[in-house]
Amino acid sequence: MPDFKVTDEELIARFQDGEERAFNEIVFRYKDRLLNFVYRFLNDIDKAEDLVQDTFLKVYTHKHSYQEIAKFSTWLYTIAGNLARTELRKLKRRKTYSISDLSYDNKEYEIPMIDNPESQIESSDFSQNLQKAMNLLPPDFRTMVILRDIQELSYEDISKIVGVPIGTVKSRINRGRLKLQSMLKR
Amino acid sequence: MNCYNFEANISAYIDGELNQSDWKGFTEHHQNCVACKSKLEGVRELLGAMKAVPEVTTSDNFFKGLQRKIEIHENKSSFITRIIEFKPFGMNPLQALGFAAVVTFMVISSFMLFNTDKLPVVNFDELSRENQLNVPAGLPNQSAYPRQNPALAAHDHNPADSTKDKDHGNPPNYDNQMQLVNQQGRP
Repeated sequence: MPDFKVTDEELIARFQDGEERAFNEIVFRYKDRLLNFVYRFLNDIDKAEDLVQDTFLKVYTHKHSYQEIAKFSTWLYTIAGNLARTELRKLKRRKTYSISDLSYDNKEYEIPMIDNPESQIESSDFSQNLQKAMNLLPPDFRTMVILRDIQELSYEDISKIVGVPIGTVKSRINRGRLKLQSMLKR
Repeated sequence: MNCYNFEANISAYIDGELNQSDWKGFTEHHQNCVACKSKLEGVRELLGAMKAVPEVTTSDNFFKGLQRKIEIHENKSSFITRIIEFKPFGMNPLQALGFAAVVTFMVISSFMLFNTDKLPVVNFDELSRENQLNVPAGLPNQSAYPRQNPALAAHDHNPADSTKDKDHGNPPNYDNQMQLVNQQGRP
C-alpha cells in the first residue's frame, strides 16, 4: 500500500539516496496523470504511454538533476511536456499527423481563425469532439488548457512548467477556452 | 466594458480574480449583451465538460515496459562506463594516451635512425665528376671544393638547360658557377 503521507519531494530525495522503492512509488503516483496529459496533447494512447515511460526513464537516469527549488511535479510535467512537444514535431515532420495541415504556428497575441472549424468536428461524442478541437489549438495553448482544465494545476505551476510569465499563461488559457468553446458550439 | 474586454476577462471572472470595478463592468455588460452572455455560458459548460472527460489509464504492461527501458539504458551505460573506467596499467585514459603517443614516437624515431638499408646512397665523388665535365676550360676543378649539396649543384647547372640554350642559339649561362668559383677561389 503506497504511503501517501510522504511528499513527492521526500520520495525523490530518497530515490536520490539510492532507494529504488521510492522511484516505484513516484511512478505509481504519476503514471496516470502524466498519461492523461500526454494523451490529450498527442491524441495517441500508445505513443502517450511510450512517452510517459520515457519521462520516468529520464527521472531515473537524471535523478540528481532535480533540486528542491521547485516542486517535483513541476519538474516531472516539464519533462513530459518537452518530450510530448518533441514527439509532436516529429509527427508533423513525418506528415503522418492527420490534422497537421490544419494546425498553425503558435502566436503570442492572436489565435488565427479557421475557415470553418465546426466542419472538422462531426462526431457526436463530446470527448472525441473535444479532442479534435484541442488538436486544432497551437501546442502552447493546448498544453496550458490541458494542464489547467483537465489536470487542474495552478496558474503558478503551469507558468513554471511552460516557462512563461503567469500573465501570459492566464491570457492564453482564456483565449484557448474561447476558441475551444467556439469550435464546439453548434 | 466592451465585448473585447468582456472576452478577455471571462476566465478571470470565473476564477473570481476581477477587482470590484472590473467585476461591476463585467456583470453590467453581461446583462446587456446577449452574444457575450452566450460566450460566458459556453465557456462555463466547456469547463464543466472537460472535468467530466473520462480518464485514460496505463496498460498492464506499463511497468514491464518501463523496466525493460531502464535495463536497456543500464546495459548501454555500463558498457560506456567500462570504456571510461578502463585503466591500462593503472593509468587514467589521458595518461595512457600520452604513454601510447610517446611509445609510437620512439618506435618511429628508432626505425628512421637505424633502418638505413633502403635509403638511396648518394655518391658525391661521382656527382662532382659529372659537374666537372661541364665546367668550361680554365676554371678550377669543382671536386677540389668542399662537397656541396648535390641537389643545389644539379640546380646550378643542368645539362638539359645547356642543350636548350644551344638550341635557342644562346650561350650557356655559367653565371652561378662563375660566382661560386670566384667566392671559393679567393684566398
